Amino acid sequence: MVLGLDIGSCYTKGILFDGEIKSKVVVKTSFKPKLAIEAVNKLLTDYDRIAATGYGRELVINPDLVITEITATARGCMFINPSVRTIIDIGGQDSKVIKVLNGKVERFVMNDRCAAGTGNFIEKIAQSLELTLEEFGKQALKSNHPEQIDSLCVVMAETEILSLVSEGKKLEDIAAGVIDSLVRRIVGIGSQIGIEEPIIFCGGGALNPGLVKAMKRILGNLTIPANPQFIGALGAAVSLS
Amino acid sequence: MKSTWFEVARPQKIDLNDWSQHFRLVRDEQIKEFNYYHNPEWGIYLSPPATFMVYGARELKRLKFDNSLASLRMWGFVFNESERLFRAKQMGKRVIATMGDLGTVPVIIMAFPNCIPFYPECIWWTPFFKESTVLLDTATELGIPEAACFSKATLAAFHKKAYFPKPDLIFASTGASCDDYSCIMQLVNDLGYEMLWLEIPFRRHNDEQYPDRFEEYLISEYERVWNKMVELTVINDKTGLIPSIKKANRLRSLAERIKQLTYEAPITPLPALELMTIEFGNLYGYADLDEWLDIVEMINETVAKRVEKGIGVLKQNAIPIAWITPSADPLLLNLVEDCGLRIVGTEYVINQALVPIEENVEPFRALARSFMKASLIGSTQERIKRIIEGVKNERIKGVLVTNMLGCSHCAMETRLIEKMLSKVPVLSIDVPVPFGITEQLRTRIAAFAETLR
Amino acid sequence: MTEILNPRERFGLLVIDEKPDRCNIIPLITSHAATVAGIKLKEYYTDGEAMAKAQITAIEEYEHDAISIFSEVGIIAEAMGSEFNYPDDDLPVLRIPALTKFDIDKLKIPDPNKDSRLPVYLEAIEYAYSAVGDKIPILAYVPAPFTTGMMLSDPNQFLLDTIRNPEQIKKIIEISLEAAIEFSYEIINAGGLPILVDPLASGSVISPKAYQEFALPGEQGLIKFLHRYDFDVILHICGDTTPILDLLLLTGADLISLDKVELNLAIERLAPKMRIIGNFNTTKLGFGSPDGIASQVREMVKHGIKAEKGYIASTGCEVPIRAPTGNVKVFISAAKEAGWFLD
Repeated sequence: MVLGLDIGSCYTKGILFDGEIKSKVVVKTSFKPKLAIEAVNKLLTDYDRIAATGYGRELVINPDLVITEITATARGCMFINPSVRTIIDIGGQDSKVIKVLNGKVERFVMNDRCAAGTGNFIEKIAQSLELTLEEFGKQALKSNHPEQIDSLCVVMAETEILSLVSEGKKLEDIAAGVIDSLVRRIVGIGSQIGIEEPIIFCGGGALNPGLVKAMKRILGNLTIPANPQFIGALGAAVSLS
Repeated sequence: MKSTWFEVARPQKIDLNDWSQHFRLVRDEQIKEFNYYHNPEWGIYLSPPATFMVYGARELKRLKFDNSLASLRMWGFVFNESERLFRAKQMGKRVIATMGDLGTVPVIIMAFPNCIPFYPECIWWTPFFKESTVLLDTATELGIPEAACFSKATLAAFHKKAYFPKPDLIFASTGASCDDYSCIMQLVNDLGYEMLWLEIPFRRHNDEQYPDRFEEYLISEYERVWNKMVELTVINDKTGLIPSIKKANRLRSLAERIKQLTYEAPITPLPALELMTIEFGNLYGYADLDEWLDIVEMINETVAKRVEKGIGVLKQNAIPIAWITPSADPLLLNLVEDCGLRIVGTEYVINQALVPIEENVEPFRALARSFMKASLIGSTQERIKRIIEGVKNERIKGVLVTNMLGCSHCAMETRLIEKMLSKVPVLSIDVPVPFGITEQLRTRIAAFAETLR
Repeated sequence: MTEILNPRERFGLLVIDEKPDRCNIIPLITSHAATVAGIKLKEYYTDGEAMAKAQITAIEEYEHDAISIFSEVGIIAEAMGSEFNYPDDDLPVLRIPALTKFDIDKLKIPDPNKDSRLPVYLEAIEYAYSAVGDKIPILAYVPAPFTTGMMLSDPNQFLLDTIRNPEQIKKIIEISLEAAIEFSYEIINAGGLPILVDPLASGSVISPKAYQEFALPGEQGLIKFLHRYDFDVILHICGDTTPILDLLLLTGADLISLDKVELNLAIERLAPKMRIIGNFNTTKLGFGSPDGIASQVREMVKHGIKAEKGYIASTGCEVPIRAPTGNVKVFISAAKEAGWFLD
């Protein structure tokens, strides 16, 4: 049995794997990756090997395998759909678009310098609109006319959004506009390497129904795996199995 | 004379503390053996990295270095350059700033006795070695926008007069050199420094040949340099150009040999950071060409011995990649090797300083011809020709492009290069500000290495 | 008078014989930093981070040119076995010298990373270096072998033995030298520039002959070690060093920090070979009037900057722990005014 651990910047995910996922847990990382790793270790005990990935991967004691989240995500997606060509992963601190071919990562691009291309963007804006993430997602789903949001940075976007609010624009259209702007950014960086089908959309961002809707609208056909936030942990485990 | 330790030590990359420890075994006579400007009184420079760290080069605490005596000697010499330039001036040598042309004007300067050329723009490494924004902030205060190339540190250095002495002459080459740097040179001019401006021909299109008149034009520019130097030194002896070109060629061929040995050896005999330092030494020999030549000879011997014995500093399974555009942050070179990669090809935008200068034609013509092979003025295709060849014969498995903020050669070319190198994975990264390398950047490089493996 | 350089750049120019924008100003602000930072002395000398933070607070307050990591001269002796009392708000006091407890053969070279308070100093250096080391030199004071030797022994016995049992004293000094070298080695790796302090080798304590026979070799040994790094070495000796001025030239020090010596005389005798540091009377700094301090400092700096190989405006000894901060500020602003080099 393999413990697949994905120590992300926001959440630490763990799965037990022996050809399929036997159990899974997720805990908040909260800037304390070591504590998060311990917490997962307490919940998932029945394993004999460990594969680690994510930004805290080097902190795992005595791992049998350490790989980056790019490789892990790719392997996880290929395990689910061996013919996948493009993977879009939206996480808390970064987003990535990975092209895979013949079972290998061909190219990848990451947006890691600017929060405006990450899940953090939505979280920040939801906060400033005094909505929970869930409420924000639901609002976005209702919209048929997303507002246009052009600012390229979270701080500027916040100002732009507040002015839309003061103009009396509908909250649902603003929320959908925010999500659209994030998707456009991801698609923009993805186009550097070309987004081709079949596409898998994963990472914590894939749990947001508004984001999924927008992705589908802009990119057409894409699949969301079950437990999209566990793909990295799964990929790590698969790599060791 | 060699310390026993250096002879028996296995080649490896070691950190500052290791170097301090090994340095205790270096005998006093060994330290005294090497001097710059042949001055044993104050010209010693064989110091461990700790010396320069104590004087403020904070990144040395995190960098890893080659563990050979030759490399120790090289680092001591390179880090000592600022002191060396001040001493040059104090002992009556003339210190000449050559800016922007990257490799050719110094060959002319060195034809004059007691004249030391140097590149003020090489100060761009300093903010990174110091992990400090002091120079960059000062440059901003002096009027350069924040989002300009790191070479803006040069302006701050001219203003502060604490990094190199006031040059006796300044030659500033503009035109096809970096746009940002052209502005920086103008601002140096505005500080009250007089300079002789030279013009570099525009960048070529793909495979385009320059008209013959360009060669003649460059020759006339070099004549202007010559005349200005004659004015300063009251010496007018063009036979001095011949030994100067010979020395430059000797250095260029040595550097090329070290590169080839390193690239082709099954196990990398010399780390990428040391190799980059050697490559850049071609520009002006770090302000003491004779001593630098001696150092490069010594490194060449070390590398040759290692290759012969089949030993080196990286694992045998390190993946060969090429590196385009130099990183202002030396730590990135360490990082890339830590991720299991090795560098077997570079395009650092200084090709003109790497190619041999013809010795059987008139010196200025030979210099003009060597300059026309410049990456600065070459097309994108030309810049990466050797790398494309390496990819074709499968010697190069991936390509890393470092983009420099505000660098005109980066902004336009990275995407073009990616397209031209479509047959091989390319990773393009922006060099962060001093002390700005994040975990995410490490991940990106590590993932790139995993992709290639 | 707009300053162009930071302290690191200013010091860098001094040690390559170039003139900075103004003369370096490095009063010996050591434990006085605790007063500036408002912390108890015991915290200052037992907690490296507190020491570094106090030094940083002091340099922000005064804008002088170097951080001085130091509290008192017994630090190496303590790590070798001498015992000290730690008063809550005063410096450690020697209680039981090591050599009154055990024999010289039992003296051990301390491990600076483990023994007694040496790690406190290393921690302070690391902290200060990573916080401000790009802009400000971090000077770390190392007690020279003679001074450490005396702190290992009953002081009276030690001085008597310089006559009765000189071989024994030399042996103590030899071991103390080794300890000082090991401490300096770690100081350097942490980012500090070791400076030698040999207050007990002062002409006020020992004769020139004793200095030459016992103190000088220890200083030379340590300076030789530091010269291997190509450092410019600072040596500080308190008290009256007039009788040993010529001997100071033999130490090999590149910068000499002086206390109770006629500055002009020191410049005449030493300045062709050494850079001069000094030497404002610290009693005046503690108790003098601001006006008096200002004019005397200006006068001192006016002479000091004539030293041909360079000059650092400083105090002759440590700035008194409770010196009024206003007085120190006056010292610094007067020195800046009088030591301005640019047109």
